[in-house]
Formats: sequence, structure tokens, C-alpha cells
Amino acid sequence: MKDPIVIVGSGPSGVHFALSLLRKGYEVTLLDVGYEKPAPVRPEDNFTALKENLEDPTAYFLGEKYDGVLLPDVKKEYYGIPPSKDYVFQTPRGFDYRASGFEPMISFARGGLAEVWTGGCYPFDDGELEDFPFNYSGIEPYYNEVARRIGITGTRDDLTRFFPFHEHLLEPLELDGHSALLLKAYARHRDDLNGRLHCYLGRTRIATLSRDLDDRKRCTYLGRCLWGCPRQSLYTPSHTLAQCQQFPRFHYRAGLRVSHFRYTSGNRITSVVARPASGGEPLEIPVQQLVLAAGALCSSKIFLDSIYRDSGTILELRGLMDNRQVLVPFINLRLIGRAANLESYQYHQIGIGIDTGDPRGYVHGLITTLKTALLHPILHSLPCDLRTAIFLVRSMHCSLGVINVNFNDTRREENLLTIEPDQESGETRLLIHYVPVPKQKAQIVLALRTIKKALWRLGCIVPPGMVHVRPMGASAHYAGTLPMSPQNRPLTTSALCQSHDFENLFLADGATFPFLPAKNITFTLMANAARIAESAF
Amino acid sequence: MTQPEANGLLHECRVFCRYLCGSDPQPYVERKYVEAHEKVSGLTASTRFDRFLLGFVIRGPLYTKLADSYARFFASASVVRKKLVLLAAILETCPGASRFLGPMDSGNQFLLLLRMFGKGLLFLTSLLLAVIFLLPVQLVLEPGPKAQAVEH
Repeated sequence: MKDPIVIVGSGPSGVHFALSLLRKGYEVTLLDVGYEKPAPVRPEDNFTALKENLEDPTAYFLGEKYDGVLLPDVKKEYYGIPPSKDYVFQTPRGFDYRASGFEPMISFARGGLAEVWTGGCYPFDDGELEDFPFNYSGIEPYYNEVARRIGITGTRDDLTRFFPFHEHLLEPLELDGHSALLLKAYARHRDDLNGRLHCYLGRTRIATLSRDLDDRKRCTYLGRCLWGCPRQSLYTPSHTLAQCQQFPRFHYRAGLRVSHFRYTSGNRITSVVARPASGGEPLEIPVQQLVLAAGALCSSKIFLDSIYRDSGTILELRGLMDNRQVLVPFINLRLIGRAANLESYQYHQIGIGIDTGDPRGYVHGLITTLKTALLHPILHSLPCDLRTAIFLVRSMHCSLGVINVNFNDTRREENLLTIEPDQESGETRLLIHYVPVPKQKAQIVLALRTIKKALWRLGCIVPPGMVHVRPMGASAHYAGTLPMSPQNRPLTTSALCQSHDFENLFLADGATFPFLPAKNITFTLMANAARIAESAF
Repeated sequence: MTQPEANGLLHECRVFCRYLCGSDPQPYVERKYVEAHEKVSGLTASTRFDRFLLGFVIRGPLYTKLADSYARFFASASVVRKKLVLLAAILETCPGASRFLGPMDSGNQFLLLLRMFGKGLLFLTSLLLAVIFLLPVQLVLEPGPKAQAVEH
């Protein structure tokens, strides 16, 4: 009889870990707060029809409380996440954090933060896996397996030099007109861009279906990607959770926030303590094997809380990482005055890669040709009155685009997580402290210079003063607090992500990554979770 | 919200709508504009200059353009500017939004550039006039440290 496994968290790591174990015959209990997404509205309507056919379209697009309106005096970072995805950022009672130099995104939704991801699936290459206790061939079978499970579109092109080519790639989606024009321009200037700027363009790898897979339907270009794909063409972990729920040996216990685990003097975990998300008395759930997959921040908090509640010791977990992101808006001069087709795929279909000469220093840009995002935030940021801004935006809608440029991060001692007890409530607060890499400014300046030159050759300009450096935490690619290590040291894990502190504890999320390349990590999170589940159990 | 307050908002909505898109609002837009004022905070004039600007803009679309041009640079957090942005957000999400903010095919790019030039000139003229009229008012109504309101 195989020991039952308890997993905490239903994000990309947790659900792929669970699915692998279920297929091996294990009994799995998944503990989760699990806020649920609302049912899609009018699934057959495209973006334009939705505005015409909904009874109250403004409530849908801006929210019942108009939270989707970005007024000019609001200083917080704008993510453009629609009201229909508010559930992703709902917080249960008793969870609190304080951050300096970092603006974290934390989710307790069914599927976790990846419920609002844009589907980028980029395998790490050997250079980027240098600090990991395995190389590309060690994780490749799991990239293949996850690609088969979730459906990833992609092709072999100039970006393949940065993303190893794995199995089970679906044919790419139809390109929107703007992306197609950029690729054509790239083909004309390829030698120059590759040779002088070390800059490459190509198709991105995205977890959006170009043909039906299981009960998910292929993309039909409704233009509603930003607002929540009603056809489930864009993969989110809640799809895998639904697959897990078809196994009789799978027990999904939603509405519970795990606060800590309890362990013996020999550091063997015996139970987890979970609090009902809506309040009430905590429950104690016995465990044989525990897997933390609640995301690097929440898993780290559970780890810290457990030690604090047992011994009164407050530890610091060092080495927190996140990708710095810089948004570079641009105007394609050839498309000014042209009509935009709103019925197209909305997220990035093409990407830009800069080879810096350092195998770990790749700079990754995702090119999104904005079509169905809300425009009023752009209107009031233009240096003119709103009437003139409306004319400009209408004329240039088709020509607008934005590159989301990602930079790598390394584990550094000064970036840490710890906790702070609250004597009144008996709860603890997560404390996050982050200081950027000193040389990062120069790195950003250099990359932006290259990108601006590349855009110019592609017929585009970057409007002055519009480049936006996002705060740390904005990428939501958190990692590094309990890293995999070849040495058996405290606050690290083995190559199979088994804790060196607690023998029956596994960490299946980004907490175990010893390095963070400039790529969306979700695909690697899923593949690594499948790797641990397949190899350690 | 009292009936006179609601009527005031409806009048405001019509003037702003004529300014932003050159036509009167649909009843749906009017309803949402009034509703938004019950749910969104920070839409009440709290300074003397805010109150003056609100009284100024409801005279008509031309006044709104002057005030908007001015507020973009010298009072970007003013209530007038917030209300205009709120209405733009409602207009872009309502039925028929494509007529207001949908992408347009302008055909000849040269003519489009000429139109852009003309619009730019019009904006600069309105900004100049607005500065002449509104800057002294702001300095009088928000004296002292409030000259900080002259943000740029």
C-alpha cells in the first residue's frame, strides 16, 4: 500500500505533481483555499459582440464597483486584470504580508496565479540549468510530458536557439496582422539584426490550443483572451485539477488555508494545520508525506511558521528571486491609420531574444500587439486633452504594441523572506525584503538600446518617456528561498526537492530553483513537479 | 443621492459626452455615469479650484476642452479630469463603443498626418488660452503651498 500524499496548493506545480502521482496509483489529498472562477459569459460571442449583447457590459468590463477604471491619480501598478478575474487575488482571513522593495502578487485561487498567466512556455536550456542539479536532458522528458498534457503551440525558428525544441508542440496559431508584419520586416533585416544587434525574432511558445485537446476547444480568435478565454483554449491549472478530480483516489479539500505543519523531535512531519478560509476553528490533518506547492512565497511562509510555532525561532529564508520586467510600448509606422482586427489572438504571438554572450544572461521580450485592452489608461497618459487623445488612439490603434522585456535574477543574501508574529491575532505576517541587483540599471539601459534599434529597423518607434520599469514582484515568477543543493545543508532541498530539514517534506514550486532565467517559469515549474513525482515516489 | 444631484450629473454627462465624442449619450451611459458616482470615491470637488473648474466645464464642450487641456498638465488629479476619464471608460465599454473608440481606417496616410497636425495645433491653442485664463484662477484659489498644484 502506497502512503497517501498530501499536497498544499493547486497552482501549476501542485496539480501536475498530483496528476503524476495519481497515474502511478497513489492516493492524493490536495488542500487548497481554492477560490473559484465564475462561469464564462456568452461563450460564443466575440469581443465586439460581447459589448453589444451583454445586458450590462460596463459592469462586465469595469466591474460592479468600477474597480477596472484607472483614474489619473492612482499610483499603483496597473496590470489590466479584468474584474472577472478578481477571484484570483481574493485573500482569506488571517493572511497578511508586508514588503519592502517588492510588490508581490499572491493568489489563493483554484489554479493559483497561473489563472491569469499569458501562456508562455519556455524550457530552460543547459546554460540556464547550470546551477540546477540536473541538465536539460534530465528534465526534457517532463517538458515533453507537460507539453502533451496542456497543449503548447510553437515552431522551429530563430528563437529555438534560446528555447530547446521539445516534443508534442502543436502547430502555431494564426498570426494577427501586426505580428505578421513585424516578422516580415524581420525577415528583410535578419542579417543586420542577428549580426550587429545579436537580436532574434520568432514565434513564442504558448499554451493555447490550435486544435482540440481532451475537452478543451481550439482557439477561434474571439479576441477575448484578456477577459478570460470562454473556450478554455488557453491552458490554466484548473483544467488539470479537473482531470485529477476524475480519479477516485483524489480528494480535493477546498476552503482551507494551511498555516503550518507539526513535526516530531526527529523532524518528521506528522500533520498540517489548516484554517477555514472563511474563519473558524483550525483543523489538524495527519500526513505521511507532505508536498508544499503553494508558490514560493506561501510555501516559504508555511515552512517558517512551522518552525516558529514549534520552537519559537524566527528564521530568514534568503535568496528570493523575481524577473525584472520593463514595458516598452511602440508604434508601427506602417500601420498608422489602418483598421485593427479585434478578432485575433490577443497575447504575445512573437518574441524577441537578445543574446548577451552570457549563457545565463539571455534577455527575453514578449511582443503583444494590443487590440482589446481597455484604452482609457492610455488616453489619459497621452500628453494632450482627452478629445485629441481619442483621435490619436483611434488612428493608431492598429499600430500599437508593447514589448514586455524580462531580465534574469540570481540568489542574493540580501533578498529574504521572514515572518513577524502578531501577538493579538496569534497569526504571523510574511515579511518580504528585496533589493535589486546594483548593475541591473546598466543591463536594462543596454537591452533597451538594442530593442529600440531593432524596433527602428522593423519600422517602429518607441514614444519618448513611455518606457515603464515595473516594480519587483510584478512578474510573479518567485523563486529561490529553499533551493535545490548538492550539499545536505539546512534550508535547502535535494535534487528531488526533498527537504534537507524534514525527511517527509517535498517542495514542488519555485522555492527550490537556484537560478531564475529571463523566462516565464511556469512551464518549468510544471515539468519539475512532474519530475519529482515520477522520480521520488 | 438627491434628485437635483442626479440631474446635475446627467447634465455633466451630456456636456462631457458631446466634448468627448461629439454626440449625446445613450440612456445606458447616463445611467452608468450616475451609478459610478455612487460607487467610485474621489469624484467630489474638495478644493475651491475643483469647484470652480466643475462650474466652468458644464457651460459647454468648448469650456470642457479648455479645462481638460489645462488639467492634463496643471491639475491632473482634479475632479474634472477624473470624471472625464471615468466617462471615457464607460463609453469604451458600452454598446456601440466602436463608434466612439473603435479602430478606424483613415485611408490616406498623408491626410491623416494633416489631420493630426491640425488636432495638435488646436490642442496647443486651447492649452495656451486655458493657461491664460485658468492659471491665475488656480493661483488665487489655491495660494501658497498649493501652488504645488501647478504640477509641472
